[in-house]
Amino acid sequence: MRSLSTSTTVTRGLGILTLVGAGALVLFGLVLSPADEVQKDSVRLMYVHVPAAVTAYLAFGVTALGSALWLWRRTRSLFWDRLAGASAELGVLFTGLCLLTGMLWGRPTWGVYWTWDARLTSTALLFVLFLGYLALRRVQADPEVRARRSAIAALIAFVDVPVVHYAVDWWRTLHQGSTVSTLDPKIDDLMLFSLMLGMVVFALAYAWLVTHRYRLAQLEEMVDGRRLELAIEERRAEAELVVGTAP
Amino acid sequence: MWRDAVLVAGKDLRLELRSRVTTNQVAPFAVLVLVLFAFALDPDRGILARVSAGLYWVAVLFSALLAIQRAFAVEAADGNRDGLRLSGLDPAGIFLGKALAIAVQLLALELLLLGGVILLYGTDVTDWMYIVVTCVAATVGLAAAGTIYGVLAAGLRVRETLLPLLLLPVVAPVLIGSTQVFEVALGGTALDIAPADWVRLLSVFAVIYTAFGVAAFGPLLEES
Amino acid sequence: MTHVAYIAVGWIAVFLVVGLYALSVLVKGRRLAQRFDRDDLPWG
Repeated sequence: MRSLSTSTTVTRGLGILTLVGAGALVLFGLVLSPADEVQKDSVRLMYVHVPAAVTAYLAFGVTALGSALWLWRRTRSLFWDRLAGASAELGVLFTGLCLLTGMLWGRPTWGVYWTWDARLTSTALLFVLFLGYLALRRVQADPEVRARRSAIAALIAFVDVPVVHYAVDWWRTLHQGSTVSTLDPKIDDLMLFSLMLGMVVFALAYAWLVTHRYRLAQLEEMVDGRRLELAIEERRAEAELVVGTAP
Repeated sequence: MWRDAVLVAGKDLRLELRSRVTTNQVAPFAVLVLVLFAFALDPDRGILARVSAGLYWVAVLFSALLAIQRAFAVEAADGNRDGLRLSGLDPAGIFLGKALAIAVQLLALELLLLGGVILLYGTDVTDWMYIVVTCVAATVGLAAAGTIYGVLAAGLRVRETLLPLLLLPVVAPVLIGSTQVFEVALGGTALDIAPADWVRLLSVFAVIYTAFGVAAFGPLLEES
Repeated sequence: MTHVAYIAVGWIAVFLVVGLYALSVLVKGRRLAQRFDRDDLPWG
């Protein structure tokens, strides 16, 4: 008999699809698509950098949505809180990858690993913002308490995103030179395909990851719940022992 | 709501007057930060005056962290937090009151730091209007956001490390905006984005977080 | 290929990080799931 895990037929299918897609992405991104005229081969990093960024935004969007739906009494269910938490973890993961691949792209293109342009700076801030959210989630608490705290924190962070965007954007308009568009205006068909393929593969990976992470969160809650039941049982047994021996 | 706000603000400020923690500890810390910056950046090369806008607001942020921690440590100390929750006061009023008390202390610190920057860094003030307006707008936003995160982190054992991690990224726009206006007001550098626009951004931030605080303080106080 | 090192590090990092994270979630999930009966699991 198969050992118990967070996998189901659906996730197995999704996982296989993702892996196949990833293989195709490697083929198209690294081999079949041409090098860029200006960027040469470093454009190939765009096929993972841009999908990572888009997936990160998607993930944080899900977190915000989940947080809002948990807070709204009519749709309140721990499902939304667990989803928000799982998705945030993935958002941070993909944002980190976005920043890393961005830096690796920037070095051969601009000569520097980092530049304080609007987009990079906003992304870095978003990263730290949700790292804080994850730190807050890790604080031990009753699921309902943690859910309310996290939901409010997520929305406060989310509401800040447009303000951060404008602030950083205006801040850097002085130095417009460093904000370079990452792709040529006329983009080769194969390059466009590789990019789109990247988006699809990352989206599939996100779906697979968030499902497993969500189920893991459920398991953790179940284990905590059981630990609590055991503790209560033990306490009750002790009490009966004491009461039993009282005169 | 407003009456409760004044009540809470009054209590916090009176507490401060009696214990003098902000005056005896936070204020010296603020000045200390200015001094440390001078140690770190060669005072003779005129850097300090040029970057004083940024250094000023970084010092304000660090001091604000202490002030906010303090504001909520006061509640947690004697289990006052439950007292506050059960007092029957309107949560929105409690939020506004606490934020108001923090804002008053922050404004005092900012005034002190302004003196510090003028005296220690040799900065000139060329536009007082912008100084005042920016300080007010920035302080409201900082106090509002700080109060929300302060109560969020208040009951937790890791609050000292969590509050900075949560609050500082959120108030980054305040740092950016205030510094930009101060660069004009303290030295007269012209900007591409008009100071008035930055002040507007600071105001938007302040409004958003005040509104958020008023709406969310009830649920935030509920949990233990 | 020009800039091979950067591209290699970038792509390998992406696959490695995602792969290791996926692995850790799967392993943790498997370990916790063992404690329960098949019927207790909310899925599948």
